[in-house]
Amino acid sequence: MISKIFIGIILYLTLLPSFANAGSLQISGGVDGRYVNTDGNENDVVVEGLFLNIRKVFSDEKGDRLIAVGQLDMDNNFKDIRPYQTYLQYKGPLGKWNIKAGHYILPFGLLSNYDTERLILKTIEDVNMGIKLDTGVELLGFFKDFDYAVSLSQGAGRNRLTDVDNDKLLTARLGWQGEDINIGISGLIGEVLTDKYSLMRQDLSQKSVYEKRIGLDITKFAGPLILMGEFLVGEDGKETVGGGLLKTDYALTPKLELNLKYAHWQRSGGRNFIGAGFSYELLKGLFLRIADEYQFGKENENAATFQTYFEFAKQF
Amino acid sequence: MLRHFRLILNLPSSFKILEILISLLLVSAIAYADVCVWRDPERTMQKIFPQASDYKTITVKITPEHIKLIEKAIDTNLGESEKGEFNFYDIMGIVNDKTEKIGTIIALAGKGEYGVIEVVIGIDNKNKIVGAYIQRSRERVTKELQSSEFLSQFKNKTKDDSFELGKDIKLASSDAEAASRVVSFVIKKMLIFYNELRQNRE
Repeated sequence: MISKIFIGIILYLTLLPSFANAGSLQISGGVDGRYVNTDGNENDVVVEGLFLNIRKVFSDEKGDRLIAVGQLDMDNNFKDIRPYQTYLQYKGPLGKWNIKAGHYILPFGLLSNYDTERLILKTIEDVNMGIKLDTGVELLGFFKDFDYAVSLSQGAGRNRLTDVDNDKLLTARLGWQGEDINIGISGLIGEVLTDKYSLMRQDLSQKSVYEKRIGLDITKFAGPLILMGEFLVGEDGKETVGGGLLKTDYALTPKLELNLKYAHWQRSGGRNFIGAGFSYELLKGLFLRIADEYQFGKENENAATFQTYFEFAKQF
Repeated sequence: MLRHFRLILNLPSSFKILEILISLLLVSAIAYADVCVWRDPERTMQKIFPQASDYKTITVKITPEHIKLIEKAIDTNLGESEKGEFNFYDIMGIVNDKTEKIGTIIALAGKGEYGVIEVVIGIDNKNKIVGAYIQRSRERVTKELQSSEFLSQFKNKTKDDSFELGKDIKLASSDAEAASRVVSFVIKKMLIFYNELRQNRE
């Protein structure tokens, strides 16, 4: 059903008579295949994801006005066929304000500017919030060196269009962008129906929870080095939770990058994650990645992953 | 020592995967291109054109004839990923109470020592550079490349000017010869692209 809706959206966007002047149409896609060894004794070979993304810009005589984005992901050996970011964005003059409606990544912490969906070493929304994408409306833009985003969404998470409890999720981020540094403060409050595979649901032993979060995120660019960090604190119901993430990408050569990660999350006991890996761009758009991530604390697990990732893009 | 090996793929899904992978490869074979996705360009546009009120994305298809002319002008072959299409961003502003095009923003990446160096330039309606900006660089000499001393040298240059390093363009620093060369070449290349794809067409 969802894939039919997505195909319908793609056809509509492709064949849509010009809004005023039809702008560029971009089609991109990729495939993410992995071999994962868990604790030295379990081996999985999996097509983690295959995706197709369409992005079309519509312009009027004054400039670009409307951006339509649709993406369909086929994850976990095509067991989960579901939309990824799929939205319409109305752009105000020079993008100083925009209104986005649809299914999108929540503007919270590092997630606002850094999507690790197709990387091995990920950010911590899985254990921190239990939600990454949601359906709703977002106001975003920039003013001088500041950028802002406020989202009101269902709190129902990825691939769910209906609000289960009629409560809403409010997410916001205010960022400052310097020449080589981004700093942001974020807030989140509302009922969240956590992702069914998330560590958060595993920790909570319940499907939904009233979450409150405040966070500070920093991204520093220093030549070949990119340093990212986020520090978060909040409540799940009446329980205080908190933690953070430090992540580093270091370009060793134009094609080879070293990736390091440390994360901690405290919820009725602590979970720690230490990861290290390499990313190598074999050919244009074709990446080979290898990483090992060790989780300790509440649960001990070691996962060694080898990933082959290919992406392409074409404009019309 | 591995105790067991679990291959998640079952036979029917393997055929499905194979089918989709083949489709994807076929699509990518015709569609592969290194599209420089400049998703959040507004802030840079305003830095170069403070009077900008909006912008419009213009995508131009590159023909074999364009490729010949561009390769002749830059005296080197274009990469496969540069032969598909090219984006320009027409900058709109208010002139005599009317919204008009006041210039164009162009973005292109060159290959640095630590990955791509993404360079953005703005040109006015007379095709002179108004400003240059390093959008992304992971070079050790990024700060020097981003310095106004280095980038201001490109101001007012056109495609007909010389960009010889050490003569017309001073190095960003003594350690930055290779990176300065990349930036200088990419800027010249963008002016050539504009000339061949827009100027000669309009």
